Amino acid sequence: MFDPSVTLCPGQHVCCVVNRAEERAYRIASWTREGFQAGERVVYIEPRGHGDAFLRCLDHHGVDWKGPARQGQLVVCTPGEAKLGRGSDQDRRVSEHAEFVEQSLKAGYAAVRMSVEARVVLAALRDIGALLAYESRLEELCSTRPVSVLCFYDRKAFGSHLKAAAGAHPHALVEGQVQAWTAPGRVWLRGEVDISNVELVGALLARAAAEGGELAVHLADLSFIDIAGTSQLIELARRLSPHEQLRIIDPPPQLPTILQVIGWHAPNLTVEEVAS
Amino acid sequence: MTLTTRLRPRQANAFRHEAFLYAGRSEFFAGTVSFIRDAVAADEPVLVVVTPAKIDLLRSGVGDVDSVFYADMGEVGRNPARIIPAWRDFVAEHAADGRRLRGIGEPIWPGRSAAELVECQRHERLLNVAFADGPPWWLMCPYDRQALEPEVIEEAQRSHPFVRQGGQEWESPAYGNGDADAAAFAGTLPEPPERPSELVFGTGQLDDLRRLITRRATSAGLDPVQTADLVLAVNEVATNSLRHGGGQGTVRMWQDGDRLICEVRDAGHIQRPLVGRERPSTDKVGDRGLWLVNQLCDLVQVRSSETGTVVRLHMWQS
Repeated sequence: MFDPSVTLCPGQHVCCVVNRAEERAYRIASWTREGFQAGERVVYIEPRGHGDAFLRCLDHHGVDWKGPARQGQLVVCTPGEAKLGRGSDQDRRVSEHAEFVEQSLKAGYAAVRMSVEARVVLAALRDIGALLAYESRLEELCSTRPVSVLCFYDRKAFGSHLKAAAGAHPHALVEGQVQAWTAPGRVWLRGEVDISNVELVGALLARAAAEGGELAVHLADLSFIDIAGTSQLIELARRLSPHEQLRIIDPPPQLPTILQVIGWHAPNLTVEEVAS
Repeated sequence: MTLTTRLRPRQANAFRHEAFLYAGRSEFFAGTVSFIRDAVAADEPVLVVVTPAKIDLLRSGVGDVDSVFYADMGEVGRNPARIIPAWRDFVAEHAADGRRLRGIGEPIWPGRSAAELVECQRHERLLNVAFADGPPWWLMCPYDRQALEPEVIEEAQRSHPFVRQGGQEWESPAYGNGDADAAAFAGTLPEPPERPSELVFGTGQLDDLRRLITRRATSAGLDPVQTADLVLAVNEVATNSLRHGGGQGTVRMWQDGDRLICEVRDAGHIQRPLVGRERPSTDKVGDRGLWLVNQLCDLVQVRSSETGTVVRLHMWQS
């Protein structure tokens, strides 16, 4: 069961992996509501012919969208209107996005938040490489302008590409079970890491470690980690060069048990318990 | 004893696994002390794994000798699946320079429950597999033939290639390890005494399973550390079900006196007899799970065949 108390972080580029329709509906509705409340412009990209599924979802969750839609705060557009068709190249696509952001800010909105089903983008762009390139341009946009993007990924539709897709985002929320926030040299994990999400968590760890130096992994809000999750951390520590360091901070109780029982250690791994 | 030893010299390059059938404290003392003294005289390190009371007894008989080590079987062998790794550690530490070694291990005593006894007997048979390729060392397993049931003594003669009793020793005619690999996980387990609670799990559902185990362990009176250990243990066995056991499994839980038992059943087939008893290497994920489970639980029972695998984890209220 997903944890409904998990909220998404505004101003971020989030990979949201969902496998239950109810969870997806809940996330998109609360994300939209938060956008309205924060005075942000909310953009949702939906293919034509979906019969307003998005708006019905907002109705179902009691989000009043009619006023914002009239005022132009809520924009529901097709992939074509969002320049996701094959006709436009990445530069043009992203510069149009940036232009839209500028207009929105001039119109008085605090920020722009955009949400899209990655499957829809994939269908428009036709290949996974183009999707990943688009994701990295979105990431640039999010880190330079007041923009947040929530990308829904359907596990079944992406299969083995899901790991690469997750690694294209600094933040991930996987099936309501684990949240990962990353910044260069830092990772925060919340929830539970197990076989169902360990690969994606590994992808985000690798992303945070990519710049080298010290990586601090903050686990105070993680309530469970299994052998596979611990092994991701150990493997990461073992790949570090001698002057680099992996710091595990405030791990859940399973982690020291696993390290001790399996006899795992690495020269540049430290486990720190911060007394609360 | 010295005479028969000379008549039947030890095979120079093999593991010698011997049941020592004694009656009462004085026979235990005489047999084990002379075994240890012979080892000391031959400059062979000895590890003695017995109850604390017997450790005290032997220390008083042997005196303080640097090459004689003692360990509490109640600790090392509480879960019998931890005994082979302990012997392996001892052998690895002391046999490196080609030295011969000896051990005394008494995993079976009258207070063991039926489930523990069965696992101890499987352990005794697995010793023959674990050390089949050497190095040459000599393990003597004392069995109290006055206090233990006759069937236990009979099984000791089937699981040990050599038997010693009353100053005599002989090759056991009953010994037959048969196809030890196939026998390691053969057989079935008795049905639970009460109707167990049951949960079928699949991919993405281990979080629900962990919450169920936490609730059940807490209400069964396990302390928070044991509860966390049991949750981790069940999670790893269930993870193996998802990876290797057909992608789903069934968990059953019940209480037997002061013990909480969690069972995971799946369609997998475990074939390597020593899995869970060998320190994990860096690459075999499934092996790490069963190793960890053996270290965290008070007793682990594995039965596996082509029709599926059952892993039962026992936790005792501390």
